[in-house]
Amino acid sequence: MTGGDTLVSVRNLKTYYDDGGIVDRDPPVRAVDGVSFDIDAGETLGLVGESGSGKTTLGRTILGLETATEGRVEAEGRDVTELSGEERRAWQRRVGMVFQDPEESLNDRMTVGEIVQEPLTAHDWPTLRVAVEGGDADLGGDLVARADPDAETVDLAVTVRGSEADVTVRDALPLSTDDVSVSVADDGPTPTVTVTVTKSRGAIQRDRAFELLDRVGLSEKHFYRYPHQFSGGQRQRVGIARALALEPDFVVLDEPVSALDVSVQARIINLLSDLQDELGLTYLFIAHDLSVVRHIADRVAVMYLGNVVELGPTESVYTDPAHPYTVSLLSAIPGSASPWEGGRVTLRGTPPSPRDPPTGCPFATRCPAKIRPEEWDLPERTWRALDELRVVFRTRARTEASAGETIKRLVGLDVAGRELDETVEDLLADHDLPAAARETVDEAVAMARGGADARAAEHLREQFGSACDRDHPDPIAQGEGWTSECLRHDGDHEGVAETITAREDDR
Amino acid sequence: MSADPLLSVRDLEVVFHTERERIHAVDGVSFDIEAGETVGLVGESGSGKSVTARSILGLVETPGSIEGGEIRFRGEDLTDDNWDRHRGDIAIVFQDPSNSLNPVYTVGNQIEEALRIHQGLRGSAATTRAIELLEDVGIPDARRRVDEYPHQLSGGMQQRAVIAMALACDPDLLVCDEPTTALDVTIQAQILDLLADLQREEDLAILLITHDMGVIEDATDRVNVIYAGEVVERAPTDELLDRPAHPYSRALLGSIPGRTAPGERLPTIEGEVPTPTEPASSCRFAPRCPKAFDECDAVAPEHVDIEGTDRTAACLLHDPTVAEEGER
Repeated sequence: MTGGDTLVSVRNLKTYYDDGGIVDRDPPVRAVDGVSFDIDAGETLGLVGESGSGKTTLGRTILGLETATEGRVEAEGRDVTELSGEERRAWQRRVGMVFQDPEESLNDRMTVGEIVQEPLTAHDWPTLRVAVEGGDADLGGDLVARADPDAETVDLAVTVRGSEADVTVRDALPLSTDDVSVSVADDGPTPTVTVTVTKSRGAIQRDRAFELLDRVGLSEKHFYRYPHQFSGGQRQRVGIARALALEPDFVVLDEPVSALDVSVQARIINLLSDLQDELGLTYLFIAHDLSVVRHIADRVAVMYLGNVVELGPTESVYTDPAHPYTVSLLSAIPGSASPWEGGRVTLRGTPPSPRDPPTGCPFATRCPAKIRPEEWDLPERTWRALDELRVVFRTRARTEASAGETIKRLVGLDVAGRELDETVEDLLADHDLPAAARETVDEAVAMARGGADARAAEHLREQFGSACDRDHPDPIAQGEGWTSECLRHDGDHEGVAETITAREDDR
Repeated sequence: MSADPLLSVRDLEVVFHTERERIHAVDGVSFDIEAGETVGLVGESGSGKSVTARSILGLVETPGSIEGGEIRFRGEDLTDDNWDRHRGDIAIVFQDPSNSLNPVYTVGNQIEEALRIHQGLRGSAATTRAIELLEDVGIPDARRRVDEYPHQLSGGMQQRAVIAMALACDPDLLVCDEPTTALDVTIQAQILDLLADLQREEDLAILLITHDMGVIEDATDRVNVIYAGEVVERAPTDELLDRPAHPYSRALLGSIPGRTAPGERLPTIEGEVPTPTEPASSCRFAPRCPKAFDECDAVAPEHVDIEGTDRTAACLLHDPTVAEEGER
């Protein structure tokens, strides 16, 4: 395994989904919203986060399966989001993807052999890259092309000695020297080397498929069977074989073991580790199971609402998480697998809509360590009640009003009425709000009563918000190759872990 | 041991009939649940844990049928066609909340329907109670949410609504079949907290079915490990996690990534879970068991007490009459 060489560089990458209607009122879904990181050759980078955080979209955008809205994905000095034609196909040969659900990602009408062989057929594999040594020569023959002078892998190495030539075949190919003959014709200013491959492309592809099945722990007899005859673990092995068909050096694994039982999961994880060692693969390992990622990943990136909020060496992040979201995630791991020693930090509510992310820190609406404004001195439980109230207004603003409500609003009637008063009462009844704070709440409730839920939420944000609601945090170094995006890291505030522990006690 | 346990499952046999064979999906499963406690049933897919759950509710349908054993609720055998008499006493929560909710009715309608059937509540009394239930399960702004349709709620909120529906019949026993498997870890934590709170407040007994040992560790008092239709080990949860007695329990725990140092190979269990097509005449785990010896292929092991503990395991290694050959 090499270390340190960057294989893929992601810079300020954004992927937005637009519904694309002409009178579309909805803003786009910001699935990936400005992420930057490097993936090093030979490493496993784990990518964790809740569903909807943008993990899968990020993986697919890096591979070119989704169109980037903005930003770059650089590999070998080129931006792969801009590639087209043959260059794009060349990039696709270098990458592979394994999907979560082996049941849905395999075509049930094709045999396992056909499934594994399909990428080979689609890319007319192989085109054998030939390097000729011993003087200038032209190259002829089917199935062959001249190797790039500085290419690392050469399929056939031909050495010319006068009118004779020797050939060696790269070990990884299902081809022996007996299948290849080389002739030299000294017919022009430079001699012509003609390579004849006696094995057909189809036969080479089939042997490659056998080899792939063998490598993932299946065998030749599985070639002729159909996916439905396989167990979940076996199907995932087929998915892995297929992803490796074109000898990629970078593989995105999207929840590869989530659908499997633990005992089967362990075998697939071991297989992935073996393959990485044998083939020198680089993995982007996407998973929501934090224990699996801790086991397999060298570094981990934590994603929330389209942002990478923390990224660092796996053990550092797991034992000493910097970002409040990472703390919350780790503390939520059930049982003794959780590395967080404090109490479980139960996050309130659900992530905000990626169509309408918070303006400041993406995690501000649920953060257990959110910075509170200095103007107010309120206990933590009161802050949480006020946060909750704002979420209520925001949720109401998002849901469509019924026809009756819309009409009432148009004629300026009280639409929220008693129901809203009771909700506010429930949330704030046993809190001792200072008069000025109470006044702010009443103003917001008045706005909501007139149907202006969004403005009511905004009013609360202006009055009770802090830097977390205004400023998007920048990545701050936490150690070697370790960054976290939280405004608490600026040195003027109490640390994240201390704050969370103190507040959980105060709750 | 004076009164009957709240629920007592004894030698339950559930068979599925296919054209070619009889599949013994649940093959002699026994366990008890006392009022107010949480009992876990843990196993891999195909182990029969969900079929056991459905049996308790009388939800096994053709081609499956309960062919033996008893399910005693407060001492009364439900398999004697007594399900209707206890319809509201036992409720079930399934894995995927979106399948448990009807998309064309509001959340309120669905809870009110349960209230009408089980409690005879109607009209505004039902609505008020539905709102209370939604508040009990931690849905904020319940007065508004009661009029919303399932698709307007997130997955975690949907599962809360399903739990509210289950609570509408005021059950004594809540059967939860993988209640958090479809949810994210942070939402899972919320739901587990909720179940613990409800249990404290309502003195609810919970049967928690899951494949996740972490969930078992956090949420259960006692646990039954099920393999190929049979309970192979019964133990207080912390004892099972510390010192699993049955080789299958040990192997299952061993294959969890969190228990092996990062980067090291995970211990695995070779082979596949068998489909039991015959009544057990040997240990079903023997072909995959690292500790198996000749006897294991000849005898179907009975549960034996593990010395000095509150545990039993169905394994010859723990049977004093045969144990010599194998090591513990």
